[in-house]
Amino acid sequence: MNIEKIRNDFPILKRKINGKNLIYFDNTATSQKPIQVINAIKEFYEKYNANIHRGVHTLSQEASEMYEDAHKKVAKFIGSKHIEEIIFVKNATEAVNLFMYSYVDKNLKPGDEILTTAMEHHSNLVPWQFLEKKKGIKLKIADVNDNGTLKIDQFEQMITDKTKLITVTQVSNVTGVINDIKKIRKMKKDAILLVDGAQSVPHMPVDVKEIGCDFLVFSAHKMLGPTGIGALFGKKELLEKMSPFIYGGDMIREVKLHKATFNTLPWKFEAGTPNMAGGVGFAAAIDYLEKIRMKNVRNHEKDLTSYILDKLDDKKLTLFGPKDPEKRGGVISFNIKGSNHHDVASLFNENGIAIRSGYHCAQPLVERLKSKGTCRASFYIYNTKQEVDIFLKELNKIKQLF
Amino acid sequence: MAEDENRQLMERAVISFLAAKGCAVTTVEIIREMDKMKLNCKDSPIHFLNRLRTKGIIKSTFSREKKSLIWSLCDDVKVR
Repeated sequence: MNIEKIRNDFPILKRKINGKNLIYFDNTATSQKPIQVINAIKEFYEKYNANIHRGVHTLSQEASEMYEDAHKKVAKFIGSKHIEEIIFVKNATEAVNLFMYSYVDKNLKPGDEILTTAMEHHSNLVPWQFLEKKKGIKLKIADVNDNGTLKIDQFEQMITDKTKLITVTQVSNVTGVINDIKKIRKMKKDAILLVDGAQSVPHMPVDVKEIGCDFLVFSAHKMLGPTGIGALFGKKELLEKMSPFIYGGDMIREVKLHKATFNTLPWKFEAGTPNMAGGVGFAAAIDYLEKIRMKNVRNHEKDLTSYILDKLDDKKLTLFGPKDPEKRGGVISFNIKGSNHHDVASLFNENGIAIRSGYHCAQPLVERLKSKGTCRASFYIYNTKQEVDIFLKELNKIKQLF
Repeated sequence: MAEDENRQLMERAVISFLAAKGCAVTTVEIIREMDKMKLNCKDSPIHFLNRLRTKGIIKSTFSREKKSLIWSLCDDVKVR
């Protein structure tokens, strides 16, 4: 990987914040966009923009092909062979909600059980709380260890004959903990397995066949793509049985005054004019990542994680997550003892370093780790060891203030 | 309640709180006060503080004594 060459593709990295070169360590929240993605979107609007699946004119046909190709690229990227298995949505949160309304709400009965973990992002917890209240489905939540890893034995023991859905994140957005999805799959083969891939798909090779999930959700904006578009992968045979989530144009086959039949997959789930430019940008982001290769993305982040963890062993710091970089993604949550996390993030910002602070939309996990919020630095392909060194230098200065 | 109304309420609450205190207060003190209103998620107050700072309504500086950023109203801000 030629990091300098990669960095040149990201115009925003040339920005100065408070007079300092921007160091962007908030990649878990959203990634920056390479010029190739920005240009793909610009070019779509300049040369191809038309509504898809409707017009016979050239523009509409070209736009339709580009949008369909984007589905194909996303499918291939995660090891699916079928365009029908990729539903474009607004983001991972919408994907979970689509699955919740169209599959879980329709198929699970009162008394059935959903098993999840205490390390979930709110987007993979709140929908299940809603369904628990609405339908009397039992929501079971496996605890985590003090270092944020899943209590895997407890998780397995919580599986019963009534467990109909297992829903788990592949990588925690707070601690970076990587869950062993293949192992979880083996624990209960006849339950539906939903994987929250928001923090895994952008950062490591993910193959839906290899991990054995039935559904996978992720967002484009966390993997170099634009905001406002993400994907729900679902096994074709399951998606075919599911009812539409949103009703209206483009998701229909035939409409009479009092009835309608629905379109084939994936369009049955994509009602209305979709985010076409977003789809094109998503495809460009995947092209970019595929050129680098996901194995290299993972190795680069592992190197940075290993490098920073070696230097963060300090009594003034509380570190969250396992020490072993093999067991975590490029997410470093920490606190300086005696400080408020928002103050620390503000002080970093004064020096051009963007990190996140707070609960990270995972309040139950942060509270379980006995914290009221953490500082979080998270890496991506354009981050360097030199940036980590600057970060560590600033951290040392900030530490002296508390 | 609309998001915008929420924001205005939070911003007014921050300004009133700082005016009532009459001195600089820490981030934690403000967050604790805003939490009582239960209007937004727990990570919201810091964003309101930063917005108000950008607008030039409040200012912050680091206090070594309190080991925190301390916030106060800008000198030319009049509280109704």
